[in-house]
Amino acid sequence: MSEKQIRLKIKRQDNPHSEWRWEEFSIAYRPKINILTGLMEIRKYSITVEGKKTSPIVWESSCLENLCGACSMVINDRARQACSTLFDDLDLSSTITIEPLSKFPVIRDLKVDRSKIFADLKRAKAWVEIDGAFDLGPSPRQDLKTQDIRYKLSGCMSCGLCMEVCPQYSRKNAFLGAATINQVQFINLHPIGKMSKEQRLNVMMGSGGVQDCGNAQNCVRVCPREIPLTESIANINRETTWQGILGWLKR
Amino acid sequence: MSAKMSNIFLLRRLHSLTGVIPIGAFLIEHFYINFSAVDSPEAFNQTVANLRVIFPGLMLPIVELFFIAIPLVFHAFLGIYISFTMKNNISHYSYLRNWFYLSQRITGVFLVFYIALHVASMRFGFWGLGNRLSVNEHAMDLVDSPFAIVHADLSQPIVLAFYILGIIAASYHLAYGLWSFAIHWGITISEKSQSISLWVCITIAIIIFILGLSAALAFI
Repeated sequence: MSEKQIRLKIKRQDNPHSEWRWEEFSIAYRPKINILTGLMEIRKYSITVEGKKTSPIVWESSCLENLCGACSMVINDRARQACSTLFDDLDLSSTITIEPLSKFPVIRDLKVDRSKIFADLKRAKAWVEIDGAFDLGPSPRQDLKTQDIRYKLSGCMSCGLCMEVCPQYSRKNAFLGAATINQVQFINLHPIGKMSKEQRLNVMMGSGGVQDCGNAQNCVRVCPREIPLTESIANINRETTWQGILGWLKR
Repeated sequence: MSAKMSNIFLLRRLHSLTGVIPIGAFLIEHFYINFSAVDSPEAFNQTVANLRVIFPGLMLPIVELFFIAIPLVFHAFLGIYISFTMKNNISHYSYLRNWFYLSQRITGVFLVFYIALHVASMRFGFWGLGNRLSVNEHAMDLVDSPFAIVHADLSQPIVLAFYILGIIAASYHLAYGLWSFAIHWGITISEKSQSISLWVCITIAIIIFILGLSAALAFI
């Protein structure tokens, strides 16, 4: 075998209740291919390095351009988007490990159930209210400065990487995580969202709210959309100081 | 729409506040008082005597109870609870601020043990070479003075090493606590302000450490 090989070690699990196991594969090196291309190569034959036929690897992916957030995985012990991670960026002299996210329940192989993120967004009321029984008219104008800030915050794709790397986020507690807090800040800055920001801030002061953040700040280091998550968290901290701690002085 | 907040939100904010006032303020006062030993044993004894003048009679135990003991016990117990909600991942994500975050919890848990032993020996006189009195209850003659009783303890290398560890932990814990206080209360928001305040807090840690260490070494 003269061509260069890439060795991969993949964490497999057949269903949510079964035991997990490692399986090793080898694929031919090609320049500039990403992790998903590698996984697709493996799926062509599904044969391990021991020559054993195995089941096709299951994973989630969609846009392939770092926009949808579906292909979050732990690659070489670091949470990343598999589409925007190229093999050329990794150390190919040793085996590359690929694992599913650890903070969410595994459905199969690399596919996890991230419905908690959506449930938490609903809990935080992270949306802009639409008209009710009648037309409420046009919304107030958004100034350019706020537009600029909100554009950065709008990139969140609920991929879950900030939660995966957060030492405070776990399946055992209610902490909402950086993405949800950022989404609340994003909606609170919206001219219509602003009208009901107190409701969202109450959720931020509830169980699992912003107070559970421990300022380890790993989230902002791994965010694939480079969202200033720690600034959103600090902003919500300030808003909750005004509303929760000092609010009673206003009533 | 009125503000609703959970008890845990209020407790976490109180935890952050009590760490700075009164506990952080007390730590600085404590190191400052001890620093008088750098001048001379007499100067330290005089400073301790002055404390008795500022807080006469029952004033001292009242101040100790409400401004030190209760906030400290609250901060310690909630701090231990917070530490155990952590799922540390430093082996995967060895960023500097992740190290700081982890160290805050390690120093916090260590300080609970350290302060318990320190208060038991220096304030209540357990294990202090037959000493059964608080440091500040000692006579002013040099044989049985506050300086002499601290000297007797700190001149044992193992005790001194333990105290130096305590000073490192306390300096770090207060300085990082100030940095995260500013974030928790929404004072520093932008990444720029947070990185500036980080440098300010590192400087504060070094200053407190030098103050505390030189005070401790003055007792040997």
